[in-house]
Amino acid sequence: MNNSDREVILKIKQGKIDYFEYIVRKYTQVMNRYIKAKLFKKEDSEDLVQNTFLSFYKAIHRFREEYPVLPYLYQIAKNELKMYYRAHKETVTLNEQIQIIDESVGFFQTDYNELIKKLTKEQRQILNMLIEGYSYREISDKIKKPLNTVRTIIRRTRLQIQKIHNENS
Amino acid sequence: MKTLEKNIIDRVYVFESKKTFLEIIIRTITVVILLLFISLLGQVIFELLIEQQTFDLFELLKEDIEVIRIYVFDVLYELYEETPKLLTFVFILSAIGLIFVIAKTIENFNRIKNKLKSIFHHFSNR
Repeated sequence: MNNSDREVILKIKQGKIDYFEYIVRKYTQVMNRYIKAKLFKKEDSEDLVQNTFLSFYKAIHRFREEYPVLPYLYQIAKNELKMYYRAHKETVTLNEQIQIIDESVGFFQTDYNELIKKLTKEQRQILNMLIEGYSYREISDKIKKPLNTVRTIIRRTRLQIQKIHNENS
Repeated sequence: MKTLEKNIIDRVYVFESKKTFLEIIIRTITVVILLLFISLLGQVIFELLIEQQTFDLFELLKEDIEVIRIYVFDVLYELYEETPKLLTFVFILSAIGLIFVIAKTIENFNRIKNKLKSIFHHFSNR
């Protein structure tokens, strides 16, 4: 671990809050980039970065200074993102016409149930996880498949959805 | 990026100010309440012992050392019997609580002092 990080954490634990500025200056950019990459709404990223650092500060007395700061911050950011997606999760009743936003296919409206039926079980599972806000890496960890396989499945699903959409319209 | 960093630091300071001042207020209130309670309880016990003339037992100390040696345990037993047990137990418990709170405050004194310094420095430089 970076020696200065260790000293800074010790100083913060002694009540010298000004030293937290060092942590903020050092890691804000990295965290902002990480959170922005995971968010659809980029304007919410700053709030999440702020929450991440505040949560880190709140937990700093439990944090062991011999460990590196960055992985801990990433873990907090992941939890913040999960909470964010949970709070912003749209709930829809079955058989309801919903709108799906997809970067490659664009914005379109279709019968969700009809669409879902035409996909395989695996594709359905991955699509649901994508909608919930999981990253490709998290999906690959969850379904225990290599990252590239997940990428391929998602690409094929997108193409299939596009095809169904074209047929419907 | 500078604004974001400033916002983070501001939020941390606001959080810490609330926490520190709440901690100081709670500690002060606890110490004051315990002190009042202990002095009130002490006074009640003292008055009770005067009323029972328990302090007369200490007259033994004016006697010869030989007499003290013979009767000391009897006197101590008498003292124990005449002391209001429950009140004394609560008194001792409160005194231990007070000592614990004061010890914790002394232990955390530097940390709280540093926090107050940082908070004051931050808000005065705004």
